[in-house]
Amino acid sequence: MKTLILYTGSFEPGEFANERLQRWSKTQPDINIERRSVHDDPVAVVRLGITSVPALVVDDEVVAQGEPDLWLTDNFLQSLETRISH
Amino acid sequence: MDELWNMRGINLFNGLTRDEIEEVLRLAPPKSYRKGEYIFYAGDAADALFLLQLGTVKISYVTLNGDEKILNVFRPGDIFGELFLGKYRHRVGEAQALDDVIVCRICEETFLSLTQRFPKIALNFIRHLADSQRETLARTHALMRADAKYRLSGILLSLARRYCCTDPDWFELPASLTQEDIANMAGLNRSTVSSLINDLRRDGVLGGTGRSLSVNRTAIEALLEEAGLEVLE
Repeated sequence: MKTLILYTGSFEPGEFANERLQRWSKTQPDINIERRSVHDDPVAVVRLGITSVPALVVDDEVVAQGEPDLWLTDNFLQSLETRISH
Repeated sequence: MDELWNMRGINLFNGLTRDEIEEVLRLAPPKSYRKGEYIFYAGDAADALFLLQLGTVKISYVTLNGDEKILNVFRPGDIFGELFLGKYRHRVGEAQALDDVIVCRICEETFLSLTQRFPKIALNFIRHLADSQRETLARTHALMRADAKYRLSGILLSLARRYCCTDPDWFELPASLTQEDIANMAGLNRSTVSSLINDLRRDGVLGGTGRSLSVNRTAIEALLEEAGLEVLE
């Protein structure tokens, strides 16, 4: 099981990204989405180089961040599936 | 993976190795703030500088009439509160989080120790101060214009230069920055700014609808040059 971490702030885009990713993860048997607030772990935010939220982290690497309309697309999810399956 | 890419993006750390940046971070642990929270207040002792990792911070002060005046707005990668080394040892404005914010605070003692150990930090800091001074002069020049349209354009260009670019020529301003904030920075009232923004949208200088505001850099630079105002590279 692979855990993807979604760092969110206090605003709506984080809710939207979380809902969309949770829905998607239900179709992926080996993927789990964990949501964390940036306020709970500011050190991780700095170490990972997160500069805008929501931010998606896979294997300690930020794979997308910022306004989810710009990155949370079907193509992005497909490339994520491919990346994780390898 | 390059975990510290953003910290390297802060000019203060240009030329430092990853291990050296790690050391800086150990000495300046990050702290988070929620929208509306204050990082410091006017009158507080100015004993530290701040590195902004996440979010938007505004520095403002309240006039005797109760009006807010915004001195500056900062984005990830920016440094603020850097005048702590001068002879004026108190904050002139207050720093407030406009959204979710994470900053690293470097106190004076730590900063002085770091500059002795890593002279590159001292040099980068001097460069940062010189650039800030130059940008402040350009902004002051625009604010001295009586014409509201050019004052607003000068402020918008100054903001646009620091925000993300979604297109080679378009800069998106964050929704956390309201028209009222922009009006306070330009020393104009909110209704004037609203009306000018509509005009500038019609002229293709600004884009976006409602709260979303984007700036066409080429168009706004042409506007300022036409008014004889300096446009920084």
